[in-house]
Amino acid sequence: MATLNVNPDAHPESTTVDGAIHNDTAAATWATIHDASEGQYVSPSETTLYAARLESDADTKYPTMVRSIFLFDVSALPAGATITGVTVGFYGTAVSDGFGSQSLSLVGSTPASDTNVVVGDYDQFGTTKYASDIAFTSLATSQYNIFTMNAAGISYVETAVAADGIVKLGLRLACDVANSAPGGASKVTNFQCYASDNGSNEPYLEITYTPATVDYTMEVTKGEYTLTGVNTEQTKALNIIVSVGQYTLTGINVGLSRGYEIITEATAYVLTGVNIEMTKALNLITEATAYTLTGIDVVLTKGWQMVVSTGSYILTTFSSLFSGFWQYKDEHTSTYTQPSKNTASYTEKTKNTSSWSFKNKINA
Amino acid sequence: MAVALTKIDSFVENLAEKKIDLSGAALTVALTNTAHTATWDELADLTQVNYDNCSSRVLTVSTSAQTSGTYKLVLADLTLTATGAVGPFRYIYIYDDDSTGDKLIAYYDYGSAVTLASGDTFKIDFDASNGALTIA
Repeated sequence: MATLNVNPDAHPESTTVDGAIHNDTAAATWATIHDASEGQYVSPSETTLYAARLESDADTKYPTMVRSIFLFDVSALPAGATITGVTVGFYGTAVSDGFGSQSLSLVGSTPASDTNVVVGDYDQFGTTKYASDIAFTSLATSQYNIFTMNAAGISYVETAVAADGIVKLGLRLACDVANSAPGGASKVTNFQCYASDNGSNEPYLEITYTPATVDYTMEVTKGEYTLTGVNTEQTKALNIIVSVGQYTLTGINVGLSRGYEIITEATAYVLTGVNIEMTKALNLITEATAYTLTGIDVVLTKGWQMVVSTGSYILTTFSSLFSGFWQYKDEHTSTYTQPSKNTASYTEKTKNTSSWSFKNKINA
Repeated sequence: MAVALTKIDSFVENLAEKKIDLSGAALTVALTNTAHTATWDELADLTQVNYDNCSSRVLTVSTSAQTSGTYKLVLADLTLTATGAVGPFRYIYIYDDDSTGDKLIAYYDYGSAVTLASGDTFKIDFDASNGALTIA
């Protein structure tokens, strides 16, 4: 919960004003003094106002009636705020009720200017009460007399907030609002209060409100991770299944090790490094162009079975080593033979044993 | 304008060393107003805001799977609702609350500090199609 407390501008006014309009008409009837279109003088820059006053003479005529205007700038209220309450306070400096049983009413006003009070504003007061009347028996000096706005008053403030932010109020005697002459000769009922020009204890309007809630939305995009490093390794896979173009492992040491079964499709692996090793695969099944091994040392070791189709291995190295195979099946010929000879020499280790050893030196 | 995910340097190592499980039910959001330092690795490295007035920060994993060798993590949108003041915060981190040390995963920079008042909301709008992050 938050509050906004504002006062009318002191002279020289910028957006708001407070002041009284006096009608002094000797021996005026009630109708004359009540229905007059203008007063005789105004007090827009005094430190104390006759906020509401009525006098009767010896002949029960009403030579004096005073009404007062108070404007409040509430444009500082945050947008979207929900108003939960409004109070308006006037610091009493003089209170008297000669007529008896009188009350003070808070109503709306429509002055010609937001920054000045003129005699023509005398008849610019409404009759809708924006708070409960305060009886003169309850009005006090040396303290604020506070009106708590009713629903009509809050609605009036909300309308002003939505418009130009200026709440325009006025004080009148309740009998003035009701257009009901109180009767009695030589009587005075009067309420005076500090005006904005006093600099302290000024008239105020306070709004209690709940600020608007704010909804933030942060739309986020995906992040991507790519594995590239000095050591790029995928280890201990029981089953690595890849499709075309899946892995690009680039590093000084590139290893695929201990796969029980490594099944690749065309161009699935591109291993480029100083040392490239595929070890201990129980079953290496590749298709065409599945492996491109380029390095100083390229090793395929200890495969129980290596089934390749045409063009599956391209080994370009200083030395390439196939070792420890039971047999080498050429898918193209569907025969099991020892690796075929290249232009370089090879060494056949043993025949009819559980392993073959083949060493191939390729011209650089 | 959409906010990009910023990687935590240590995340890739922590992921490779099984210290982070992206499929778990403990991916959580943390809020801080302090700019990121590259060496940050755990939740304790952050100066977090007070969460007394903040709703649940736990993320929901929609999918955690790979397709054709590219892993994608899809997270459901998360809306934080304040019941009082929350913040200020500018950076929104994701971490694995189940990991030892609450390892950091990534973060977002909202661009300016946000302070939520009671009733305010802050929604993290993830891409339901492309995911929060991919690993290829």
